[in-house]
Amino acid sequence: MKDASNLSFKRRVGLAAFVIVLVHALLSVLILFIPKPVANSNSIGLMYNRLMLIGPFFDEARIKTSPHLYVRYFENETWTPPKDYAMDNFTIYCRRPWRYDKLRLTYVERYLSNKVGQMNKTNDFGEVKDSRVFRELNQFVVHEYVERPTDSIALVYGHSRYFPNTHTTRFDTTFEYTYNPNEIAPAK
Amino acid sequence: MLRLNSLIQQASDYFINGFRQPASTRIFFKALVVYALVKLILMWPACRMVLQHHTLPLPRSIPGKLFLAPAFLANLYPDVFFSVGAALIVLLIVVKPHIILNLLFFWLTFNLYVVGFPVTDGSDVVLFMLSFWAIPLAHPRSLVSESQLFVRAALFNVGRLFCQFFVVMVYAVSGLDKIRSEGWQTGEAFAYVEHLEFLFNPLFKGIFEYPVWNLLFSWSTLAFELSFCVLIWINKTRLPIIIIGIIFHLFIWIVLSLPDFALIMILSYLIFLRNSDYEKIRSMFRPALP
Repeated sequence: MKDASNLSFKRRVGLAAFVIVLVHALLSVLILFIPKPVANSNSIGLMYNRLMLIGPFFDEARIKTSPHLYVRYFENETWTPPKDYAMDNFTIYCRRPWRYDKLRLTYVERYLSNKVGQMNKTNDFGEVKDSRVFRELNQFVVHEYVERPTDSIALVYGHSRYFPNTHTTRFDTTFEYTYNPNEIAPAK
Repeated sequence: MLRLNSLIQQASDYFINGFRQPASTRIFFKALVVYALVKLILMWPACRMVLQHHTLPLPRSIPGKLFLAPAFLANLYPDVFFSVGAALIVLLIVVKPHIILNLLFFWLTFNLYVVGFPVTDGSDVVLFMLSFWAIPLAHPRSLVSESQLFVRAALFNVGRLFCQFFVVMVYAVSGLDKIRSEGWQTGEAFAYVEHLEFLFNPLFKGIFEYPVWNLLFSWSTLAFELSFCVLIWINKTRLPIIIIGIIFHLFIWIVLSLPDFALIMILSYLIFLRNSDYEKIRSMFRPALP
């Protein structure tokens, strides 16, 4: 009697596992072929697209442009030349691959700059400079890049895009600010 | 109808008749844990620096606060978070997989993703999702009842299959996106890739200058990603497609400066290996005695 009950339980467990796997597989394949805006309009589709069907990592829109943040600051009565510090960090990583932290630093700069760029579309600098994200970007630039006292910093952020037909590159500016970092409140 | 019933029965039996490929699954899980340790150590200085300037946006709800308690800790004391995380991972390397420890491992990897959010990329999502599906990948330590054993075996086998399915879907999403994109169809995507100043290794400058080669590279990538989804399930093609995948990701690692993504994808192939594959590898290095 106990054996029969065990067998029935075993079958039910096996069937439940099979149904779970089947439903997951069917949902994944279905959501894979549904256009993302449609799938993301309900919570299951959104969850699958965010967690189960991750990527694509090299979609065309992302590989067409490279972000750049150029930094200048006022020192000894003159402006320093614009410097792309993230590019320097990337060069350090290429020469010394164990300096993985340098590679990741470029991500921070890009993350904060993109957020500021989004704010810049709808707000003037007076509003942007009081935002938490700008304060974080300012503190990051002052402490990690400039590393000395200054009363003027100029930031130019944008994306360079390559055109394969003409072999040319064009830089589009997202924001350009010149300001006194001492007037910006600390981020943390 | 009878045939359908028999097929469903066979499929159901797959999940309850023992733990599938236990040794190879354990190697996969240990590799995931070692990868997480290496990543945690390498991310430590970058995250510490980020957290000096950046405040993590954390939830206000009580369940959210509980789930992300380690991230709250990292906001205030990043070194404590990383030290405790490293200690937990070392423990996981030493002891046998256990469902509670595996759950803690997922909790840690998810919090690591949240803590490092401004510096995270796709590899971090792959890590915490694989850790999530790997929660049931543990044998019961003590003697359990027969019915509990069925449940544990079913959970183990479902977890293993979900890990495999997750990896396959990474390629399916990527392959389908590429085949729908004009840049990948014409090979222009590789010309763009060479001009990704923060990814492309300058040592390889010039390799994507020729449109004919780019077309070949592009369609080879597409063919690999789409065929992986099918060939990985077929016994005869499983190992060859894994070898091609390893070469593909090593190329990405070196040329496109994506070490962590390449490594996690290579490690994820371990979930497709069988115990017999390790026997084969062992016999290759230790030929039979005369």
